Amino acid sequence: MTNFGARLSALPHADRVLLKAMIAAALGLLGLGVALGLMTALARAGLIAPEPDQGYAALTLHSTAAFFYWLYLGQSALLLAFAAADHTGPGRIALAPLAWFGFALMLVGFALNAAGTLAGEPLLYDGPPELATESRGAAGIFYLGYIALALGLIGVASAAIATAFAPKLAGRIGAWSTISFGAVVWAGLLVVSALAALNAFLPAAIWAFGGGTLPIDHSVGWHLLFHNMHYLPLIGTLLTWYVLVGELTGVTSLFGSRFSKLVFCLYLVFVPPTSLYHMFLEPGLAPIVRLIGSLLSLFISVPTVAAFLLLIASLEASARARGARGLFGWIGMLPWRDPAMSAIGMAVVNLAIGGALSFVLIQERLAPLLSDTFFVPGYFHFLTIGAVSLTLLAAFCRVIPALNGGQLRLASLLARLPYALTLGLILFGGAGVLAGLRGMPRRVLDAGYDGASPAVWASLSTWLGVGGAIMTLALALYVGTLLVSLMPGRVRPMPTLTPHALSTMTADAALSKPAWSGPLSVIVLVGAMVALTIVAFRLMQSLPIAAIGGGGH
Amino acid sequence: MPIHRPFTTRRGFLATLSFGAISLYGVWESLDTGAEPAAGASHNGAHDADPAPTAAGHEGHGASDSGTSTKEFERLAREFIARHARADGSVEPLGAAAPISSDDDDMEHGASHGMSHEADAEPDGGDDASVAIDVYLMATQWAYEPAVLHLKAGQPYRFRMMALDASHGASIQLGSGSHVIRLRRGVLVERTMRLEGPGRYLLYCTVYCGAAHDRMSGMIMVS
Repeated sequence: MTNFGARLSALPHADRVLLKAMIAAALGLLGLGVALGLMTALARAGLIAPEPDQGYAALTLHSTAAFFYWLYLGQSALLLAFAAADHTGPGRIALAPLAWFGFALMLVGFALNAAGTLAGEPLLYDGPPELATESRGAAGIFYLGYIALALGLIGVASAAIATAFAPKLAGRIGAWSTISFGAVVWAGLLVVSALAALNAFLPAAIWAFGGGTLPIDHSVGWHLLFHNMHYLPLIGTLLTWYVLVGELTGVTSLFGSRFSKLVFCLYLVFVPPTSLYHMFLEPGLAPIVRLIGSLLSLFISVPTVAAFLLLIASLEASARARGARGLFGWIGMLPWRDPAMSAIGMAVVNLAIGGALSFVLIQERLAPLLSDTFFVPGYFHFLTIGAVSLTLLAAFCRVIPALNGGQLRLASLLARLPYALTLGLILFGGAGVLAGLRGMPRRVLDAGYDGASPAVWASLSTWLGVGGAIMTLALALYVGTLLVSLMPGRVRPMPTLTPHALSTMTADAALSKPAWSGPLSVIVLVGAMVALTIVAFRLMQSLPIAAIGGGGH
Repeated sequence: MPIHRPFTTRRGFLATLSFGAISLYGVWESLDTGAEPAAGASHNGAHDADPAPTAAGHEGHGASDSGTSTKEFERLAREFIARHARADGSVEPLGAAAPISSDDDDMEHGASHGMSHEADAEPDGGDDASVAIDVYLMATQWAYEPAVLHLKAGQPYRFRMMALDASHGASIQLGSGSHVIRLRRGVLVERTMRLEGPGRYLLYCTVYCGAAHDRMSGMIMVS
């Protein structure tokens, strides 16, 4: 058992029960979300034909379960685990009743979201009030679900912050470690997400229950929330990589705790102001706002790239100090047979793909080509499933055995699932991006338009279904295997895990070695961004439509 | 004794490299100075139909849009449809109402221009490519009016569009890609565009608008 695992195992029983309950609920909602996602992908592929109400209800619950509840519950569990088990000495979750209450509120939130969806018009996960004028009561229940989720998240994040502060206040530690510091920043950003959710849905709920007027700016609040939802989890992703790399290889940052903490703080600076690009298509948005939005969005990758470089340089330099040869020989020294290692390895690949694609969308002049098309889910599934979810699953592969005192079930299968998931994602996301470039809309069950749509939409929809099915299978196996590993009574003794020995050299010895993989990765990433942007521009310029200078009278 | 660090493991290098994606701005600039991207540069006027007009409109231009409602837009659109309807129910706009002004691309210009303009305009045959012909398009759950438009290739048209009940899209599928347009309820959106080649172009909704969202489509026939 490793240090982090040992400290998790040493948590009080009640704390371990809380963490296991949160992980089980998160995995269950992920399973539900991907099953409903498969249903919508198969409907698009023409393999099933649900009634429109059923199909859009499935799409609504797919995205609320997988995008909101899985990600928030999964992050909450991991955040509490990091905060409670970071330090030597007796760890425990502070304000545990608040954490339990927050957890319960989040579950209530999903129940309300589901009840509201099934009782009224399916609104999809952004829940525009203007579509709910005939079923305001059901919509109100749906909005209350998000409000409960947000309040629950604030409760859990507050408990995590209190947990990180507890050893400081007790005088057991001086300065926070990088992990505790990162956990506090992460918790703070989760509170920001929760406030964004309240900002988006509280006015809608008030209107739905008869108070106030129809919130006509709901879409603005939604876009702010959506932006936070799929970028802020990246800090949790990077922090998890940081923890897991230490667990798996023994390597920690060679650049000092202060530098790592500074990098985590960059998320506070660069992510929140970069949300404007989601609104480029909004009528009435001034050109200068669109231009500023584009320029600000260029900075969105800074914290993630910085954290990535810090980790990669530390790993590569340490491996070279241990004798790694060639440009990429160090990669072969990593423990790829460990399920957590293969998962974070593929998460890096998916994050790079999703990041490169997102930089096409942030160019305001490309919005009329890509916004509201399938390009959007095409790219954000790389981020939310391929990067964030895969990282959460990697962490659970370590956390669950530690909490349960037993072995992970089917570890060799789990070590291979990230490759299958990435394959499915590349098919799904690749087909989605190509379909988006051809104008295929998102959020439709049938893009045939009675034969009037381009034939390529149908063939790409088939690939969406194939990719979605592979993703679903991989995620279902993840969910099933991890849930079985969580069950009591199926415990086998937990083996002693030895971190891969890349860390036995001193930091100075490692820092004397070059680390080229990070710079090369950035060059490749920027090159991909440039190529994709040029392709999109050229496609747009080739369309048989021309702008005329003025509106005229 | 201080160790020699290669630049690839120096903090300053890593920090600088983190800003690598900013270099994309240079690509944007070079693309901006190239050929004009057709769809991306289209005139985008948007005017909230309900709030009070801005002072940036064209003073002395005739009727103000002050308080113009979705009902007013619907009235104008129905007049347009009645004037240009063909026997099969499709619409072929022939009148010219909008001579193009190169300095008239300010998004704020329109809150007080021309909701009543179409009603005043006299058709002139629409063959002059320097004159944009007004096209009114209403989007409602789950249809467009007019549903089928007949347009001329190379002729500029000023599309005046409004979603009357909920947000909708009014996107045009153009073969290898689409021109995506988002309409918000009660907001007048103007785009002056010219379709370059003949063909049948799908008009479709790209903003989820309810159970029959994926049935909401129309057709633009360009000859």
